[in-house]
Amino acid sequence: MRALLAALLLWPAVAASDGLADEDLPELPDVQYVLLDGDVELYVVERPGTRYVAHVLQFGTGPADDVASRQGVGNVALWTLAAGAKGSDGMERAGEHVARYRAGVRDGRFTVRWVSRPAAALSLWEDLTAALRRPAMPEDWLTSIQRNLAATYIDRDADPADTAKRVWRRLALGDHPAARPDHGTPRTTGELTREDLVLRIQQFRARPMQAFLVGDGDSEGVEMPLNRRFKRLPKAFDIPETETPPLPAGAAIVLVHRTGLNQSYVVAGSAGNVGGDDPAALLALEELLGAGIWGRLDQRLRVSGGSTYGFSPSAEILGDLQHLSFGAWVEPATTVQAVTALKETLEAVVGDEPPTAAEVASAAAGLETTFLLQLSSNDGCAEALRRLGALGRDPAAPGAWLRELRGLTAERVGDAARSLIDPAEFAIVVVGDATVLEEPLGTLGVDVRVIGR
Amino acid sequence: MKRAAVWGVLCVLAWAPATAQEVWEDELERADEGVNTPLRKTLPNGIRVGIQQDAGAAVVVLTTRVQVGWAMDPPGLDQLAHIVEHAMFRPAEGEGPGYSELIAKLGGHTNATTDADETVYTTIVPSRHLDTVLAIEARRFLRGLEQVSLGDLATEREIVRQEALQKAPYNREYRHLEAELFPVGHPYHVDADADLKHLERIRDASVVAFQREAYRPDVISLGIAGDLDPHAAMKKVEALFGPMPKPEHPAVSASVDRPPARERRVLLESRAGNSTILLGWVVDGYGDAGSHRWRDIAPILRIWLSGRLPRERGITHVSVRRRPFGALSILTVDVRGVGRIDPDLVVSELSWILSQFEALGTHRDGLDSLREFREDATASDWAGPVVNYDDPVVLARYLADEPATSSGRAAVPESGLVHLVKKFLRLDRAVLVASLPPEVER
Repeated sequence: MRALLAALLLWPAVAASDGLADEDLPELPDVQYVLLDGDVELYVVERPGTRYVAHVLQFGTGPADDVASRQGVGNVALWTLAAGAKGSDGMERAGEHVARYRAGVRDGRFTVRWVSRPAAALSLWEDLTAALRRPAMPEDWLTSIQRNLAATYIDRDADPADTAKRVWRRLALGDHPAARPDHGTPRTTGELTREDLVLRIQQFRARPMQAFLVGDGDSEGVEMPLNRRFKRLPKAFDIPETETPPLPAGAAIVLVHRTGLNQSYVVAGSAGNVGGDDPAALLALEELLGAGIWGRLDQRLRVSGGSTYGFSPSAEILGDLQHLSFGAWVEPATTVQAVTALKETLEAVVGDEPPTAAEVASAAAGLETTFLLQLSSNDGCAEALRRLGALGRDPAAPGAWLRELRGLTAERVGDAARSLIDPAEFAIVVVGDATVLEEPLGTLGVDVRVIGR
Repeated sequence: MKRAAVWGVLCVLAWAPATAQEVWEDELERADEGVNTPLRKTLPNGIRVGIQQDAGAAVVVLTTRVQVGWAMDPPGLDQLAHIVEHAMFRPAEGEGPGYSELIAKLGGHTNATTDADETVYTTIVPSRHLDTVLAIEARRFLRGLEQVSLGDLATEREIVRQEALQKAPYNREYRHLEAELFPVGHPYHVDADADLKHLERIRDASVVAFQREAYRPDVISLGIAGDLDPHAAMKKVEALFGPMPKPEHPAVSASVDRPPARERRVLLESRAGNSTILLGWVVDGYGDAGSHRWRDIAPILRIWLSGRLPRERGITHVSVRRRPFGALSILTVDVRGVGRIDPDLVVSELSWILSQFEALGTHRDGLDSLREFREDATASDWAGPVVNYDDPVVLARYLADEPATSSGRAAVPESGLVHLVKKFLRLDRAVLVASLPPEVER
């Protein structure tokens, strides 16, 4: 009785929290925008009194722009920028004023991030622009990178989850450049030359770059020095535009044979085009289906269904191409049951159980909280603004993104689901013991292709 | 224009020389100024509370830390504390939605982790929902698991088993290292190959009783950070968590001894073509008075070793890490490479390289060069306290800990570092775990 009373007392407070008016927007960072020479977009958030500056540089190019026979060259070029800036040991020495330098691929684009002391906010920009102008590589640079990559490939191949995700991309995206592995293959990176790296670095400026600084400084203070540095860069080499091939048609199952695993790793999902320009709808779909314990998948499969596998979602927006997949560790005996349950849940979303208004409100609110949490720290704020840029939204207008999230409707999220989730195009990859899994997977009604046996 | 000039001057000043040690100490001091001014209070029932306003955040983060971890699992009931953590998210019968669902409806996120000595629950919600989230949190801690459905407990028990098995493909070498460093009988011992079938024997009554007895208010602390009024939030906490009954007897704090160092070797077969060789030692924990002695060791050794191990033997990667492990910590040298790398070769090379390091401690010039080396190696640590506490999630976690003390901050002289390496990081008392591909017959 006490529990019931407590629930009744709490519920109105919780239920009343749904739906906020536009005027309830919290105080958001004031983002200053400046267009620098060479079409470099600069976004600055002044936060006086904070003791560091967070920096992000987002290039307009990513691994999908690598030439197929040199796949992975972009990643190596990105690391080369750091080497050219300071040298790997030099970066350690620069640590007194610059720290946490990270280079990688985010939302399909090459990105570098770091933090600095406020008074040294421009130091690494100088080094990076110098490296973009004239990449410097130690004599044995390429050999040492290739040796490290060789170890990375072996590590990744040994990881069932990583293998499943890479094979899934290839299965779902076919010949699309985004299907190729970001880090390339032993063959494509093994043949790289210094000239390949220099050429690729020169392409890094081919499309607008976006620079983000958040911390104790101001846009006027950084505009002129940064402009001077970017102005000195030579004209970029163009990236040849290629025609995007159509996505593969039809459902498919690939079973990657591996023994000695306690559990198999399963990835399933599909790719497509959400249509229009609605990244918020896709992110809300990802959130309401699989993000967290309250996602529909967890609720249906684990909480209500008593299943023990938990699917994690992975959505990626690469311009016109989007994909949404779900991965889980599953015991061999329940693999087919897990795939079937996932398929049924996704079919229901595009069938007779579309996203409800309450689910969408909850998902949008969750996305908003994540966004606000990011904005609260300098490091997180720079990253959140970068993501807006990658999604084609205005990084100078975080309020517009919040309004977009709050304006989400069940119809829009339902449209996104129908554009992406097509049971007839479902791609499924399982990494596990083929001697145990091939036959049961065959009962799903799709030919099972076994590799690695 | 004027501001641009000021910025330029500051940039120049930034490169004025200052020793890394000074930078680090200064940074810690300044970080402490920022984070050591929370509103702190211990409620009459023993719950400790730390609250701090972070006006830049539009969210609040609530961290509830319970000093109960898997090291307290009764014999034969491994994973019991972990099952309790999962069960705490389940609703009591008749209560309506569970904790996660309620938080999701507030637009929030929640999660928890079970460590050796603690279980930490973290919840993030928009700041306007602080009162509601405190009420929901207080409710689940006050009512315990008595009325949670037995079916739910059974599901969570199985999910915990699956989670533990899922970790198996990862960090296999580290799990074996930990199992050897903490031998059978030590509270931190975990069987590296456990199949966890015993979980089926864990009865619901055990889960309920363990939570009731272990989750006492005097082992619970709350950390709250975000856009809030600290005094109003404290009043709310007192009203909501105050009713949790004060235990009749104070909690018995079990001390965890450092196991004696011993040489052990574990050879595993690598499923890929890579070699991984780990050497590990148990050293002081992060909360110990002696912790500061080890602060600089990992970054110094990492750079010292990585530049000296023979890359031509296939070694591609060397790292040195000190990781907290409950009340203690583990210092690990992690060597990786392509193909089969001979562990004896690694040990022999390490022996020579460490002897060179130790030789620096025997003369003044050596100590001077070690000082310079140390400054370079530890300089980048300035960002840790500055950047981490800018994140409300980290800040709330910090607030739920014991207030930091400045004792033990004094820097260990270079000769002391050499002494520590010589005394504790002995290769003849290391646990070595090697994962190697099969030997190729010639």
